[in-house]
Amino acid sequence: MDLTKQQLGKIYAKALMATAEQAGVAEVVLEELSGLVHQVLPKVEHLEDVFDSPRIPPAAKVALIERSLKGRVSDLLLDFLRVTAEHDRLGCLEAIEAGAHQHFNELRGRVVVEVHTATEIDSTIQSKVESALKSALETEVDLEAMVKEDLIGGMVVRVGDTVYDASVAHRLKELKRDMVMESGAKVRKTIDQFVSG
Amino acid sequence: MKFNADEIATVLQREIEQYETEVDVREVGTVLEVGDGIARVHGLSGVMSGEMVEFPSGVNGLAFNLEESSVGVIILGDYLKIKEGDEVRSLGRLLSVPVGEAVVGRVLDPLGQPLDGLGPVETTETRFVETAASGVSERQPVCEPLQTGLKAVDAMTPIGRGQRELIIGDRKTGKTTVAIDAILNQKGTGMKCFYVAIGQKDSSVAEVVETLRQHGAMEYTTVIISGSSSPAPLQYVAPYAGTAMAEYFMYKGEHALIVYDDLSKQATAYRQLSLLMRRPPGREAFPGDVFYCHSRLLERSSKLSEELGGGSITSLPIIETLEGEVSAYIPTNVISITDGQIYLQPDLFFAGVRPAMNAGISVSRVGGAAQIKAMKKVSGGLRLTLAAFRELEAFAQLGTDLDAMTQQKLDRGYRMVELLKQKQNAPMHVTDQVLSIYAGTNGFLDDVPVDKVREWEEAFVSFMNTTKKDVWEKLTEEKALSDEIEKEVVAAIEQFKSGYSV
Repeated sequence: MDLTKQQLGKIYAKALMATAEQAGVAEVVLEELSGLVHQVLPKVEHLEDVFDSPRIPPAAKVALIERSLKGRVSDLLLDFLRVTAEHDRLGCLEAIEAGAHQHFNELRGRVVVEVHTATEIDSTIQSKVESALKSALETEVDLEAMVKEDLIGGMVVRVGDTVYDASVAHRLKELKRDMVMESGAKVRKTIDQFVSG
Repeated sequence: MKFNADEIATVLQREIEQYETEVDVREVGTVLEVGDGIARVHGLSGVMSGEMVEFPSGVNGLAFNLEESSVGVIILGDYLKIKEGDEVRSLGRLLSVPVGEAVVGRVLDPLGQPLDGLGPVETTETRFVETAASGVSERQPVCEPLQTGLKAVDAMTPIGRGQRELIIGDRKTGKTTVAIDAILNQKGTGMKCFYVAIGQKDSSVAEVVETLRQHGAMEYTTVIISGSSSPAPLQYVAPYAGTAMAEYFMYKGEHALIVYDDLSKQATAYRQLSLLMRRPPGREAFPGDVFYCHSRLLERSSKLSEELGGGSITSLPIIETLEGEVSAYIPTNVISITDGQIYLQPDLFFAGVRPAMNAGISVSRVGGAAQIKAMKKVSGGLRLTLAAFRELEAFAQLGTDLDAMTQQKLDRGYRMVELLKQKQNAPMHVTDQVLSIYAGTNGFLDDVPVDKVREWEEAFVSFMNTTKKDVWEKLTEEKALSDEIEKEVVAAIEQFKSGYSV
């Protein structure tokens, strides 16, 4: 993970989303940006390298953007990409996209919540979890369900940097720790009880 | 003896049945990079400076640097088990160590884990490793003496309870020995001692522990070790951990003595951490806050007011100089923080003057307030006399003829230097010290050949402890050399001299 890129991406994303929100096209711009990053970028070989390379002058990058995207994306996004290219920050496009999503969610008061379970959960449970989280967090929830087998059972919910862990794996770990610490001490204290002869 | 497995199984079964957990809520981050005792972590957005974090391998860390997009963590343990992408969780508490009577007599690492194989430290009490020092209104001036058992120190640079006295000198000048002798002399005084070894060879620390054990000093001493092979974060934390253990006794109204051996190595460890964390280097590449690192540590040694129980922590920090360079960065810093220094010189050491204390530049800013009256009376002016002697001695080496007066001063000086020499690990009772210094400064030794002075002294001290036990006890009890006692002492010396031939 490149922290500098991430930091820059956040700043560019904030500017983009604020402008798009003002123009009332935030959803459209975000969708187009996501398409660009997730569908176009992986398909065209070396495009990322071109964007990242300092050998290619920014002017050439601007020209490339204009030639290939004019009329195919909204004007606002095109302008934004042009500015980004002029500043030679096209290499941060992925980070910008991630930052834009985050910022958009913040604007709409939505929170991304990751739910990890040991086995796949059906939609009824998922919607139950979602409504429970909604009332607990008092915001709209964007639920992402994932399967992680080593949890054994139970559920782990992650909101931002905070993790709510009710998995069996974690409980077993805690139990082991307590047994080693406390029971060990108890056995040592009343050692006579455990040995005979 | 038979091990009752069924019984143990039942107890464990019961534990499992009664076991209940709540949902574990934690703040997490991801390891971006790990290296030499530090890790850079992404996430942990709510972590606070100095807060503890836990790595999946069970190793703990401390949030050290809070940056815009990452957190710099110092790793208190084995950093080789941590990988990129590991989940780091914040624990929401500060680093603390076990304290109490249970730590006394133990050999521990800076986190309070036993290293002596005597089982776990059984105590429920803990103290934060980093705490603020007590304030002005919670203290009182240093007034009670702390006897180190070394004639040179107790007579010329007396140390009081609650004082910070620096021991400074080149390598192999007997710095640790001075500190160990001070610990040995605390036997039977109720003083709790702490020896913090930072960045030392494990073999030398083992030797120190063995010395303490042989002299029965481990009964009241705790040894905290972070050797030269332990990671820099542990070396950095060790003195604070030792102080936290000592503070427990201070706030209980008891007295503690703590030796930091040595703070130059701690500063080096801190420099390593800071540079790895990309904090800007300053003089000698130390970070800007290396002064604060030592001042906040040594400020915690104090003498508490009577309302708070009157407890104290006396500290003996050790600094190793290079080629006698006291004006280097760390030595000047620590000299300015402490209340005086004992300066040990290699040339004196090799000339056989041990402890190799240079009386001219060793000082104690607490001074006479931390001496018993008798010692104050006999040692007053001793420091100046010795310093004057050193000058005369240099002059006399030119081989000029000297007048009788100067010759007499020189002879007295040679005998005083000889008298202040002391064997390793043989601390002296303060009364014995007073008696032998009295004999020296008052010229009773002038007719004893220089090479026989130590023999004479040994015989004299044992004479006073046996034949003249009454005078010895009187002096010990009164702690002052009144005219009456002085007369008795003079009489005793004369009686001894009449029966002793050299």
